[in-house]
Amino acid sequence: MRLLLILCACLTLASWTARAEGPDLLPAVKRTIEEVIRPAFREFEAAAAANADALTTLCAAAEEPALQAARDAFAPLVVRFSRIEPFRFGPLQREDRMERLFFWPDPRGRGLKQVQKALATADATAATLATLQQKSVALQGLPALEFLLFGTNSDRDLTRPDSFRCQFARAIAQGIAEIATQATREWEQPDGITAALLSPSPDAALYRTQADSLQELVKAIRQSLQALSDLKLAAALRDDLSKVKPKRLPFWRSGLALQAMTGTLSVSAEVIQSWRLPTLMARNGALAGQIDFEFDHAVAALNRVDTRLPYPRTGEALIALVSAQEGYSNLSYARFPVNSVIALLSEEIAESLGLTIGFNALDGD
Amino acid sequence: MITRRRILPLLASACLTRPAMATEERRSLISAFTDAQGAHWLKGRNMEGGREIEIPLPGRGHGICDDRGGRRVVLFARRPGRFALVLDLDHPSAPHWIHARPDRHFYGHGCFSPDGRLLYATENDFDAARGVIGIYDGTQDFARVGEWVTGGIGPHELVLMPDGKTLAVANGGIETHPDYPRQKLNLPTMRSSLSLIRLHDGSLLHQAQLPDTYQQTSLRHLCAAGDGSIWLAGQHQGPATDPVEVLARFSPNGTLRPVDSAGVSAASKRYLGSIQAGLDGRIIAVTGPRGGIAAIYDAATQALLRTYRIKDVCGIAPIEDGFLFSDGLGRLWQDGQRIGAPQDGAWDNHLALISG
Repeated sequence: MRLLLILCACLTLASWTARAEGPDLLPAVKRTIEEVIRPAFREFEAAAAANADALTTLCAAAEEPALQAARDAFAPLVVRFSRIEPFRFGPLQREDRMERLFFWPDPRGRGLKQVQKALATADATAATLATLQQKSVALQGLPALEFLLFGTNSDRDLTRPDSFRCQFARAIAQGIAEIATQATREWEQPDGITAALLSPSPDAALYRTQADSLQELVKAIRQSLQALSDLKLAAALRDDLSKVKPKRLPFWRSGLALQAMTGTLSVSAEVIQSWRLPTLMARNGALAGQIDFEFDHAVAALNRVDTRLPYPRTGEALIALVSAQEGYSNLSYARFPVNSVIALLSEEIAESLGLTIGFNALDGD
Repeated sequence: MITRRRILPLLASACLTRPAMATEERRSLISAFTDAQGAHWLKGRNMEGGREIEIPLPGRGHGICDDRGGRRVVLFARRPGRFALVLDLDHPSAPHWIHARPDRHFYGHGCFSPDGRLLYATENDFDAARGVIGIYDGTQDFARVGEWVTGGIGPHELVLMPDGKTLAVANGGIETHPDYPRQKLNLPTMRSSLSLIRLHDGSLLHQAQLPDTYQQTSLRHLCAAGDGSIWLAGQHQGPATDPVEVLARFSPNGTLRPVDSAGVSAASKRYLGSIQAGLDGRIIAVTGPRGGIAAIYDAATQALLRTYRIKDVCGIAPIEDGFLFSDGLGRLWQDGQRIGAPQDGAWDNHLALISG
């Protein structure tokens, strides 16, 4: 018992020494890694493997049921991807993995042009994984695969025997599965990114204090929500209904745009829940509930539109819903609770925990 | 000579209080500033009368340049902003505004021609995804009279070389588009470069890149040293664990090479915010706001001379025996020493001490 007490005292002293002011932040970071990030990557890896299998089956069968199965397998892939999308640091930052998975935004439509050119010329180097990986990142990810599965002439091309389009799609799916496995493995390793986050030190390349580590997570969620609100929703909704551009929503073509955003919102909420805010910020006990409330409202607004889509989903149905007053209003409304969470993250959580990012240290100039 | 002892009391009462340099030429300390309420300003101190200049800005400001001996100063909007503010230091209450063309936006920096007549500004021709230099005529209310291509994407800082005939431009290499402000669109294929452009006709005299291992290192800021070399400060876009230097030097013989920063690249988290040569051109100062570090190098030997630990430091202005630094906590520093009381807000990335 005495030994236990001494041990506890030492541990307390150690954590106190590590962070003389404020609470120990590393348990929150550890929980986020173990309870949210690692499971999200494992689920993405599984969805990517299933999607690659479905494409392999389709290329062999070249018939409608297999096509529908491949399209069905694309939906969990997009949703699982949207749940790792905020975690762009660490494994996804290496080897252009994030850009290879998701070349977006693409205001000049380069990805689509490159995919169409590869299709038109039946570019054999796009049809095997090894050669595809040497090509433009815009040909390797989810937007390219979405066009191949759902875009113009996909019904016709993908049900033909020896379809080039199918082989191209299969190579993309295999590449996505490979990245998913690599990134998942790196998150699972005890060294690497996990060690960097959980063992900050003054001379470290990435994280020098506990605040740096938690700040990385705060920044990831905040940037992801900001992108969802400004670059996805606002860029598509624009000033009013007459100016709406639904095709700016990523994954509009498969009709999965709103499900993807819901996935990002859900995982963002789970990250913040994993911090156990009441234990970190005892004086602001209501904050956690307020954040959950905002997330619930944003997800509900998106779901009110998404649940009106038919099965199988189509891009045309999504465009019609977003271009009608009710759908437009719901999506416009969804930005408010998202923006509230961003403000709470910046003003309440970051400031209370001493995580504010330096003015000049912010996004590059 | 302005020593710290002389500057300190001068700046003590208010952050930008004009040093009472009775015999020295007139000087103004100018910077963009964001106050605690989030409002953006040009802040300056006309050092003659000690009156502080405060001009509200429609958005965040960025780089500052002056017309070389005249009394005009230009502050550019932070990218992708569309305004530039021309200030006559003798008539600060009547600023002149330059607006970017609808199909261009500013990147945040500019410089004047040797005679102070023409203003050159780095701009984005975003439809063509190419960097350009917009040319504005100061004798015609800064009407835009032409443009040159920079030979790269994302030109950021440009300076006039000491020969008075050449512009040096740091092409950051990162493609952006105003539909998705500040989103980096080409990280897998980006390539930064240094362009030397002939002032006479805008022709590209020389272009240099770092080795392939530096594909994701964005060279943003630069300055000319006294020996004819150009020093460049970069911001690495890959992981901060990548073993790249973010300090580079273009030698007069035409080669661009990384500089052994003696650990400053790592300490800065491979992100430098500003670079300036000393007044004699023999020392170079860089700042790394993410690592909270300022460092001084010998321009000839490339040796690290000293470092200062300053949280969120970024702005640099050379003075006779060193440098002034500004930070995001509203503080000014002379080398490693705080000077004056902090302002309630943040000094934005760049600082200029304008003689005129």
